[in-house]
Amino acid sequence: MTQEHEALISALETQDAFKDATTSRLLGTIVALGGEVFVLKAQVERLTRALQAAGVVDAAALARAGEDKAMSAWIASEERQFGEALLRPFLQPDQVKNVAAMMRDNTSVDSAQVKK
Amino acid sequence: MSAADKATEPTRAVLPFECKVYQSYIRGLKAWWKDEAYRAVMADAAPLAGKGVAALEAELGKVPSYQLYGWLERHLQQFKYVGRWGLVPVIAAQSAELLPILKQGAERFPERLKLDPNFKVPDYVTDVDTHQHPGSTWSDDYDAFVHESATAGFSFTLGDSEQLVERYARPLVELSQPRDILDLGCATGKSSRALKTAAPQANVFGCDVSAPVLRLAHVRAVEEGMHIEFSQQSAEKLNFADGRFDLVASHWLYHEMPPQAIRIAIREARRVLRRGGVFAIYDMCAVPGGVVGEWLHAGYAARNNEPFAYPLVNLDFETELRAAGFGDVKLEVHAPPGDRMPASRTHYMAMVTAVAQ
Repeated sequence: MTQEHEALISALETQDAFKDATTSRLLGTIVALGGEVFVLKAQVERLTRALQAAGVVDAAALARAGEDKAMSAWIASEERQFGEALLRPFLQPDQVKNVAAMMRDNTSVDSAQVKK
Repeated sequence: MSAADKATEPTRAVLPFECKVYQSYIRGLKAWWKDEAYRAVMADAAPLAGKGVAALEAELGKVPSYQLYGWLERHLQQFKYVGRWGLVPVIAAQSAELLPILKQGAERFPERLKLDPNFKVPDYVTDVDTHQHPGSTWSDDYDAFVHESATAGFSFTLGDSEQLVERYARPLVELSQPRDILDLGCATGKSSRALKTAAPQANVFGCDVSAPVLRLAHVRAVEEGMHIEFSQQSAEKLNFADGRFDLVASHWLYHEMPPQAIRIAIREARRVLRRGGVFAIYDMCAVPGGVVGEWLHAGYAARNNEPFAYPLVNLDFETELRAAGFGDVKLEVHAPPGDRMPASRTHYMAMVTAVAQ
């Protein structure tokens, strides 16, 4: 094994993608929370469909709604959109202009000071 | 297929609605990871492609795209297995219903299932929670059902049994025209059943080191009316006579074995093959994308608890196979040519075939 490969494996074996345990734990919490939300969304959707379909809520109606093709199609669509909505903010954390510099006195508002 | 061979009804783990939805959520995040996060990493890695793998890891380890990519690769798989509605807790809770399926299944055609109570599962298996599945496929019987559910949609070959026949098994059968086939590392027997489908007149044998998956492989084969014989054996030490087979195949096995075990297994495969028989390895034997591809593959191997997938790509199969008595070695990589990386994160599969001399 070369020195380079050894250096790579040493870096990887920390299993710490962020080089910061707090960030890693925080993201774990967020993804777990996302799981709760996603399941809840699905349950609400299922309940709505059951109510619309049967007019009453019972176990059979819930089970049917959970298994029908339209419900599966909704989940397939939602899984992708939900994943994107949740994760994109990490790569694009600030999507509006940063105008804090404009708080200074006598600052002219030009594009150079308006940072993304 | 006789009616007597047919099981009365399918016998699988039942994933409740919440579990199916939760797994869908994880798949959604994984889809974003393999497309968007991967492309962001590729863009950030491009200017550094001339550097080595260690420099890539060191420099991109400070960049958010790769930090997120690495975290997702490691942790989404853990959510899949051990999250609140992960496959392990959900399926473990069904043990009372599932384990009798294996027990009763073993009582049908018992001569087709040979388990060895004294068999020692190799350390390189027991020391690794393979795929980040705690206990992997060997520690509890319900793990077989976890493995079956977890790998159902994993790749074209594992997710679609017809594709497994057409793109994996049939070409091998056409190449070797086998009477006797050995499927090494057969797990729950999907590849064994594909080989039997492609060569219905052939005698098919499957072996694995893990008893739980062999029990389930036997159940599934009987359910489908297929006569396949499963036994608990290591690819390194097979209880078959010299020259017993015309085709020795393996589907996603060798990336779970360290190089020294692979070398022994290759020689053992040669021993049980007849002269002119075909040895086939379908696995991640090569990666595209030059240094960047190698670096990402190393990260995958580390993060997904498949450590031997990394040395596998540096194994010189041509040399190893020729040294073991094979010729006509061919390696077909199912990936973009040269240093190009795929458009999204995928497994880079290769088919290695060799003929016993």
